[in-house]
Amino acid sequence: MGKQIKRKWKLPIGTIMLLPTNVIMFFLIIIPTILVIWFSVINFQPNLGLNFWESRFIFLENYIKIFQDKEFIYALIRTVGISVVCLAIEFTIGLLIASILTGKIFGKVVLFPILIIPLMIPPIVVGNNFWLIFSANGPINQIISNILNTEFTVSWLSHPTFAMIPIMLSEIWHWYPLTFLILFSGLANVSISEIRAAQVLGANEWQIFRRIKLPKLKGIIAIALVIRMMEALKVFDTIHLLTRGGPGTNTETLSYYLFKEGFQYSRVSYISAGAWIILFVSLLGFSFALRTIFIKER
Amino acid sequence: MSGNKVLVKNATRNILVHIFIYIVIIILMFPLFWMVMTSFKPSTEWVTYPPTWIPREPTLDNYRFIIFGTSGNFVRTYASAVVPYLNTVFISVVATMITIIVGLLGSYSLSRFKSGLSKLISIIMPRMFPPMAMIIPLMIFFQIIHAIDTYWGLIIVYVGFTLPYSVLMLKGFMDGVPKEFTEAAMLDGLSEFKILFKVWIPLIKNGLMTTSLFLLILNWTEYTFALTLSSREVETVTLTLAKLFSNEAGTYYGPQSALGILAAIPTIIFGILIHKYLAYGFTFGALKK
Repeated sequence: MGKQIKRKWKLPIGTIMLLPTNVIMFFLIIIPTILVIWFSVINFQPNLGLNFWESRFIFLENYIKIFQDKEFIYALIRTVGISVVCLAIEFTIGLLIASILTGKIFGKVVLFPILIIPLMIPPIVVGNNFWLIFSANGPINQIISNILNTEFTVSWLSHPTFAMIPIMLSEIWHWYPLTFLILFSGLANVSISEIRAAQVLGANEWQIFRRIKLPKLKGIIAIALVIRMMEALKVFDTIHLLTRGGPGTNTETLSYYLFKEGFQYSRVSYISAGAWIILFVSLLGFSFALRTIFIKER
Repeated sequence: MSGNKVLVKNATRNILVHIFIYIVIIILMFPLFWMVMTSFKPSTEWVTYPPTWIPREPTLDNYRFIIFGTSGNFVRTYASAVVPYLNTVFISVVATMITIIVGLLGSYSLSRFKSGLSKLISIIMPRMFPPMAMIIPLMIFFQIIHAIDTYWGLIIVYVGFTLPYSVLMLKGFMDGVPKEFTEAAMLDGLSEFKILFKVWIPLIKNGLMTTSLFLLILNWTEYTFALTLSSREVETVTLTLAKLFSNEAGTYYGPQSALGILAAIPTIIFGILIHKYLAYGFTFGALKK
């Protein structure tokens, strides 16, 4: 009996091949995640001189404190706001260009790669770009001055309310190619015969888009949304470069808030609690977004 | 409507669409245009008002400054950007190679043996976690193993954080491999490794290239980890660029743009090479090719 079982036993090649992935994930993602849970329920500040295993257990105090912190709440609202506005504009631009480029356009072969260039540029260079054109002596002010016919010299990035505009524009500019690419591939999959049939029946462009193209794009839009949202929660590079969260705390997003609290004030436990709240909120957001899209489909 | 009128209507519409899309493209390319122009401006034209759109006296001083660390009348406070640039090349290439090899094995296993959705979720989940929060435990971990400010430390982090992309993208491409090929190979008695390397990889050549170049772009453009886990000893090009902003001698608009362009050129080329398959890769195979 024993011999037979031994012969039947095969090398679990699938598990072995997955092993390196799991090991790396374990050390770089799972262990830090567990540590973040631990940090979030103790009072650990590296600058106090205590190691994290010697720190006091305070259970939910960090969570309560962070919810009372107006800066955190504002950063949360701001991040959600930026994500929603940027996503909406990106989808509009992406869909517009994608539906134009599915038709016959002169120079399409060249236009296509040109349009996705912003996605390939390092975020820090994107920040640099917008920093240049929005500087007080930059071209944007010049153009606005010419249109308004008066001297317009706002320094955008140190203005309490306007500072958000360059940041959002840089985000939109950096990420619209993603929605464009995904929507373009989605539109390319819509069969021409269906569109022809609708045209023969006298449907106009909007009806064709609404009744034929959009239902087919739903799944793809959901995927694009999730990918983009994941990135939107991480906005850091451009803000670090453009405004450092300022003026004051007017352009602080969650990532920047975590960076400031964690690295400048070394409140490790505090930001660990914040991180869990962010994860929770984003999971909630994703499931909500996905559900609305897929329930409407049915 | 007579046929002629429809034709005329279509033609005008066509022309309007063309004009519209070209205007959109000009607007979208403006930030890039401005950076290219700034990189050729001499220091006297950096902050003049009204700004010069095309440099009156184009110069290569800014590029010289980036490469040699000094040029004309302005001197950099530290060495040239060549070393950070090479650092970036080295770190991102090595990290990408490791990620691709590990990812190939992992995604093959997931795609071929369908060994469970739960594993996949454990790979996606961490992507939602703000990396900023992961960095502090990682820093403590790295201090223990003395990996802060080292090449291999940064490489390990990059491998870890791009691996989910590698596995998911490759799996998306691998799921498109027809079963018949695998069955034929199994009948021939090939081992699993041989099926992967001799049968599947040639079939997903484009996918493999797309994934590798995409990962290379991710590693190349990374800033957050480089800023927090290294920055003194091992400086990447993104860090150098950020340093040019907060220079003691003021802001170097020109060299900053020059370095920005030098940093962006490779990634733009990679992006253009893979743009056809990128949408497929991004959606992890949910889209048809």
